[in-house]
Amino acid sequence: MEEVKYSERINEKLYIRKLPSGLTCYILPKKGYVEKQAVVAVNYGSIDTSFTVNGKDLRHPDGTAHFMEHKLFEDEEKNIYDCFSKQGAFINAFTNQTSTAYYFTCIDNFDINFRLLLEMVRKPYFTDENVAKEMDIIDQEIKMYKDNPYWRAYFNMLGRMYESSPVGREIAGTVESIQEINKEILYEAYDAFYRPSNMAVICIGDIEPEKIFEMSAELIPERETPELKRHYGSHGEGIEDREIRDKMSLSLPMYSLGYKDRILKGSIVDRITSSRVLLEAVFGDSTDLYGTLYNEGVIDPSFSYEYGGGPFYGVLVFSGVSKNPERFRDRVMEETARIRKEGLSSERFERILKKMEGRFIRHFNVIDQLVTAQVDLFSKETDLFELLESYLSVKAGDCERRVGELFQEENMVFSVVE
Amino acid sequence: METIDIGEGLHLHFINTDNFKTTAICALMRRPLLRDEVTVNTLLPGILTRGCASYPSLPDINRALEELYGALLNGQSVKKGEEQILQFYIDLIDREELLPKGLELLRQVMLEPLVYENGFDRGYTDSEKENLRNSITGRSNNKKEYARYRALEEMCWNNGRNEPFGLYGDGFEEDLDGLDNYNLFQQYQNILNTTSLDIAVVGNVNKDFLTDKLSSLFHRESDNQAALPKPSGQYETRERQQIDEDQDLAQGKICFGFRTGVEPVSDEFYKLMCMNEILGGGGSSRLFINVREKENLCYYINSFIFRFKGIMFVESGVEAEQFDKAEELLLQNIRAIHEEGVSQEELEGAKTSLTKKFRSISDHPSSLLNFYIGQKMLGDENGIEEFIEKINRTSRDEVCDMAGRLHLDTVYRLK
Repeated sequence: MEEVKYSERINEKLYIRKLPSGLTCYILPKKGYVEKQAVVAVNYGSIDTSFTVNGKDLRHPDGTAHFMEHKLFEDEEKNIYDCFSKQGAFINAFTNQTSTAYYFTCIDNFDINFRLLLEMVRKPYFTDENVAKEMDIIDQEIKMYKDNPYWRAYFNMLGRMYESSPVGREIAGTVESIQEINKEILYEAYDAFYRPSNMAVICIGDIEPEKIFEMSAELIPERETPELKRHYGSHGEGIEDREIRDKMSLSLPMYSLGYKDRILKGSIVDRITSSRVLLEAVFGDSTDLYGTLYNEGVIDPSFSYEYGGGPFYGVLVFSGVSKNPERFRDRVMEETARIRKEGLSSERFERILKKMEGRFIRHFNVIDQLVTAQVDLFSKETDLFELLESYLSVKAGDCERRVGELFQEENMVFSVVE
Repeated sequence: METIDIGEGLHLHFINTDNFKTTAICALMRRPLLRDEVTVNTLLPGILTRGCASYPSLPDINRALEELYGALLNGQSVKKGEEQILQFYIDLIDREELLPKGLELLRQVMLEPLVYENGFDRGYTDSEKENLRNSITGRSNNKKEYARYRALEEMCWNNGRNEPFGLYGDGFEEDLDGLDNYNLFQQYQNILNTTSLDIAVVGNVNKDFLTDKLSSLFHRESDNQAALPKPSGQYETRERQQIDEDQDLAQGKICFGFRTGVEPVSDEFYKLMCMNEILGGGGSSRLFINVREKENLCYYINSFIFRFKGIMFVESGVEAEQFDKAEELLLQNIRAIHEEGVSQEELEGAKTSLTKKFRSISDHPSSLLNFYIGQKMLGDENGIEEFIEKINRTSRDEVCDMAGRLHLDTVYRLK
């Protein structure tokens, strides 16, 4: 499969090719930029803990994908950080619910760094010793998140929404769950998920696409694709306890007010774009509601909202610091009831689409934002340009329908950290 | 970056490039960072961006921005060295028709505030005071940042040290009660009369058009810029001081403030950057390898430089029981560089990494603005390429010498 997409609005081209090995490559050449970034994305994240591979049922500890991310930096002979930094490259990685991504940025020696990256991902080296050693570091990382009130409010909320699903649990796992991880588990997960057909290479910068395709084909050879089936447990159920409070002795409470999306029809991308446009149109900083709440001191500059989701889940969340989170919650419910009755004004809707378009174009200034976005879009089997198309085709009616689908009181979780 | 004096007290700093999808415009008013002025200066951009004469509310301003294809506008005060800058920023998609409208909006927010009887809007003033109060009392929500600011406060300001660099850049809660919509408006008039206006622009714009437009929109009567402090690395030698604070954290934070005496505009500065890079600059630095990877002591440890003050800073997240060990290891690593030196390979690595860091500035409009505004403030004529060239002149011996110049002033420990 091969495709070259061009968007006149953005004035950029995106080259997409699926290699015989099953590996998908996305290349966005950016003339005039000095930095180049490449990422290997694996469609494997914190929610992939339960799966059947070649008929064998496996259940891995929470935090395995993230643990693996740390451990792939291990090599039998060399220090990987050093290898990259000698080539002037900065290397890092991240794990989220659906993806693991390894990336570097560099200016010179792109080819050498690209080779290093692909070799690193292709060659796992796990030993009892290096696995044991990593526990302490990840243990510190988990503790660091615990001291972050935003993080706590968010994951407390998610936990209530997805009580029996890994979506509701922290990406790095817990201090206890990571103790169960060993090298056998890591190899097992590696063999199941680190397959070309489950991976993508994404490169952005002043780069020649053809060369990337060639090198990728050479460096990520075909591997037999196992029969893999992922299990996510039950996740569509109603929520039992819709309020959660946690104590951290903060000067002002911090909240995450979320709605679990239980109407998951249509494509993920359309679900995301229509929800985001709706959020801007109803709660954005140009609405009277925003102005009133801001003047009342119920929201402040920390206020933010987002809709995100994956194959079987979707979460709309508001978060921020507030002297009165309850008032905020009540106003959200009132306003959504009003919109359900009155609908959105078309003048307002047109302006929001202009804003979304401008924002989208602005994204193309920043290479690493594009790369991160494409990693996420790969896990959703789509790309940046389709995302833009989806934004531009959102209709006021879609948003109005989404208001009705999303803002149901029984799907709401109110999480406060005080 | 090209600087053009457009008129009395009005300067344009311009980078003409078609690399970006946007035009970034940043208007700056530079003030000395002073205990008496810091809270006022923090509040002003907040109040001004809440509403102006022609767009009296936040939703009004934001609707205007939406019409400009989601232009970004913000106003804030920024502490840079011992200056506090009132900064108003607008970022527009690169379409010809948007620029004049964006500049006009920027002017209205800055220069035509919502005024009633010689005062700002009272509601906005009170609400911004409240927001600032909340953000001051909420400082400790971000433990890493909190530890860093507390360390600098102890190092530079408390106990009669009185270097403005130790002041919180966002002011003091105890000042808020004495400030109201009238005296803040007076202060703003005073600032407008004693501050020149620097406007920095990065984008694909015609220079003549820009200078004409700015000179008509931002015309000023005179240039009475209040005196600004001269950045310097000079310091008074003191005994190591240790500050311990208890906040019941899962993971402790420890910060180290070192004096180096290195002047911000000097050849030594580039040597200090190389030494810092080797010590704690990134994933292949000595601290990362020896403290994180070998000892598994912490999740993060890194060092960086406050150039305007010649301070080198190290911060780390570690278990509180390991604080002493972390300090011991840090000092050991510094001693090792000083006494045993660094390898050619390490130095080359540091240079490569710094070269990359500085070269990539040109990919980001905001980094370009930041870098060149910093250079202007320091009176440093060097551009990015000269900067890189000077870094690459550093020798191994110079790195060793530099490690010997670190004087540990303050250890701050939060658990």
